[in-house]
Order: sequence, then structure tokens, then C-alpha cells
Amino acid sequence: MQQLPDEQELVARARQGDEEAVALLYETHVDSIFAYLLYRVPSDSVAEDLTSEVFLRMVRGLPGFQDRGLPFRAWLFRVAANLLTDHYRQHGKNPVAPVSEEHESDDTDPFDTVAREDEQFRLRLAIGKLPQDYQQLLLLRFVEGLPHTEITQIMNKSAEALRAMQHRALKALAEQLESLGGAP
Amino acid sequence: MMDDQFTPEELELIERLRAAPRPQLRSAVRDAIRQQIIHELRVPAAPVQRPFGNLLPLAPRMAAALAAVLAVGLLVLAIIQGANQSTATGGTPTTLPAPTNQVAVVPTETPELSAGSSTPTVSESRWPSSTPELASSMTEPTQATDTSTPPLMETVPATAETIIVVEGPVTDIVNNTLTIYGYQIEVEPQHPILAVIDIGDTVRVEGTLDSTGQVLASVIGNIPSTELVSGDTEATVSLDGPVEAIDDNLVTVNGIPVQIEPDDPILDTLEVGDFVSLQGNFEGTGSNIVLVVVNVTLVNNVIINGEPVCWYHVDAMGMGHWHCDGMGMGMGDDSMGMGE
Repeated sequence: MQQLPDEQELVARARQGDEEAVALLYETHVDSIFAYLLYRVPSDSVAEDLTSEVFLRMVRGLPGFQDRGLPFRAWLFRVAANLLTDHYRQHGKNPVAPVSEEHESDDTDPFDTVAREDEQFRLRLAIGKLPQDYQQLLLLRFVEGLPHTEITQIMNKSAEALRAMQHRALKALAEQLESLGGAP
Repeated sequence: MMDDQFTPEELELIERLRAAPRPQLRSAVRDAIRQQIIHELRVPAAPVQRPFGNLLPLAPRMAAALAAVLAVGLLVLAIIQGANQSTATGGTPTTLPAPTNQVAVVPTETPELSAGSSTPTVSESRWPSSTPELASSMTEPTQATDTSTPPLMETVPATAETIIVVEGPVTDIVNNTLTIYGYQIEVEPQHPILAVIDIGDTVRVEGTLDSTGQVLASVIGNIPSTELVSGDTEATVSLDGPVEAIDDNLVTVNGIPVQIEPDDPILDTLEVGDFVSLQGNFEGTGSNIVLVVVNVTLVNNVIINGEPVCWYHVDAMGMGHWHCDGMGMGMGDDSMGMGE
């Protein structure tokens, strides 16, 4: 995931109400947040709603945001994680049964597009059946590529615990993929 | 990133996750959200004309652009808790128990908050607002007194407006508008309670807060008295909610300015987005009222199975409140201090 080299300055400007800085922060992180949410809720529309709420909370929370040396995205993922928790509490932690909806894609080959959508669908389905902390860890660590140092802060777990958990999570994911048929 | 030892099978799966197709927001949605956050930036907290200072930022949101985002529905049920006590006893408003300025925002299920606190007095919540929801309503027996106002059960259509519950002493009555804690509360002109209520009475109001800061009451009833929120403290106010802003030791929680002791260690870790449970008292500071904290606890970092376990919930009485599993069982610390 790309991190702005001058993110601290950008965040500082955003805290002062600089619209351009806020918009840039949004554009920088919106896809990651949306993808993270999409893997954890059953529909695109819910993921879109939650994505919107994440960034509204970003705007509201910026004045009180204190830079503690962690990438800004860690805060956003934390916001997203808490929103998901709230969502689950209201709607239950039903396994994600993704509803395939239209996505924008750069693919021009229709066969390639179908294959990619199928892969995404299978991964969403498999990940959605995992325990919440497994989902969160796999998405943050391997899909978003966050280091343990950030994930520890987002998930409130030690790096050692995360390292141990990731093996269990990968094993569980492989089992879920296998249960869906085809190669895990 | 690869500072861990993985088996070949794990590495293959990791590579598959990395290569997973990356969904992107539809352009229209992306643009709508961008406009929404810019609008939020330009139109911050609503103008304040009540003593809670920056209470309840009500920036109109671009709900039309994202209609599904913030629909909130809360059907509210009221129980008229007995009659106007002054009427019941034949006394005057001055014979009523002194108003205690007791305010509880978003009552919780924690024992320390519920014990001895039958009548928390102001509840409000802006959270959650991301999902449409209708709460069921039911009636419960009211405390019968000889001049009871007929129990009412009224509902509020689901809207994106803030649902607010206020309990406290009436400080002014002008026609069908009451003032409680500086809130202007509009009651139906024909509402029977208007015939029995007096300044000084403690009432409970549930309704919606419109964009002008006025509460449109859907349920109103008088309550006989108030009690301290927490028996072993001098707190008259209980407030649970998310931290929305921090300015030194002045914290905004659920839209209410809260003053924490400057040397309180919680300030070292407290961050916007954290969920806190606190008790205190409202005190006037100039033209504003600030909730001066007696006790504050960080609760949003309680982690069970990797997930914080605070959630908003509407109970069978149609009353919403926050609930946190593990409250009082040792609160986690947010070393990132980022809350949310």
C-alpha cells in the first residue's frame, strides 16, 4: 500500500481544515478501506456505506487526532474495524455470503474479468466464514500488506500473538477454500 | 513484510491473497463520498444556542447522495412515570425535590451506573447512525398515582436526525415549548402533560433533535424525583459514548463538553474515537455548561476474541443504549491512542 512520503504534513494540513489535504487523504486510502470492508460484509452497498462512515469519522476526528508516529492508515483501519464491530452487533456476525455486484475494473478481457471476479468471490466467501480476528489479520497482513507493528495497534494484540495467529488463520482459510471446491 | 517463517503451502496462499483482485469503489460512489466529507468539513458542528456549547454537531449530511448511509430509525416508547408529583401532593412546584441537574447520556448496563440510578436524566446518542433500524416498542405499567397523566406511547418516524432523551428540571415553559438544560423542547400543543407540568418539575422527554437544535418531543412524562447516578460518588451525571474531540483536558463525548482533571492519567492515552464511561456533574463555565468528571473509564478497548465489544442496542422498551461486554473486567489500553 502506498504511503505518502509527506503524510504527516498532509495530516497536519487536514487537521487545519485544508480541503485539498482531506481529499488527498481520502483518495489515498479509500480503496484500501473499501477493500478491507468489502471482504467482511456481504454486500457492496454495505461496504460503501461503511466506507463513507469511516471517512466522515475521519473528518470529525481529525481535530483531535494526535500523530504518534504510526501511519495514518492505521487509524483509519481502526475506525473501520470499530465500525464493523458496531455493524456486526446490530446485524449479527453472519458469515459473509458475498453478493456479486458490479465493480469497476481495468480489465478489458472479459474472460480475465470473469476469472478475477470469480477469484474474488471465492476469497470473500472463504474469508467471510473465518472468525473475525482471522479475517482482520489476513486482510490487514496479506491483502493490505501492513506490518505487524501497525496491526498490533489496530487489533490490540502483541506481535507474537499475531504471528501465531496468522498460521492458524492461513490454515483455516485453506480449509475453507478447499471446502468450496477446487484448489485451496 | 516477510519476517515470518511460512511453509510453502502458506506462502502459496499468501501470494494468492496478495494477488486477489482489488475491488474499487464505483466512481459515482467515490465522488459522492468525497463531496460528503468535504461538505462535512465545510459545515462542522451546528451553531450552538444552548448551554452545552458544542453539543451535537448536526452538520446536515448529504443523505441524498448516499441515501443508504445514515438512515436511523428509532421508535421511542414512553412510560409516564407517575403523575406530576406536585399535582399529586397538592403542592406547588417549589415543594418538589430540588432539581439535581442529573443527566445521563446513553445509559449503560454497568452495575455502577444502574445501581441506585433509576432515573438517568439526559440521554443522547449520535451513534450508531450507519444502518437503518426500527426499534420495537412496548408499554410497561406505569406507576399509578391519583393524578397520573395518561401513559402515552408515541413514535417517531425513522429519520436521520439525532435521537435524544432528556430528563431534568423544567426551567421554562412558553406555550408548548419547555426548556430543560437549555434545550428547547417542543411538545404537541394538545399534549396533556402541558396541563399539569410546572417549572421545577422533573420530566423525561424523548424525541428528535432537529437541525436548529430544538427537540421535537415524541414522548414526554414527568418523573417524581432523581437520584444520584452513582451512590458512592457525588456524580449526578452518567455519560457513555465516543470521544469526538480532545483539547487538553477538555474532551467532547457524544457531543457534550467534558472536563477531565488535567493530571488524570487517562489523558495520556485517550484519543478521539475511544469509548469512555464517565460520571460527573454539570457545571457552568461562562455561557457554557461543562460536564466535570468525577470518574472516567476507558472502555472501548475491551477486546474479546479480537473484537471490541461495545455496541449500541435498542432494548424491548425501545430505548437505545450502549452495552459493553467485559465492562468492569479490566479495560484494555489503547497504546495507539487512536480509539475508533
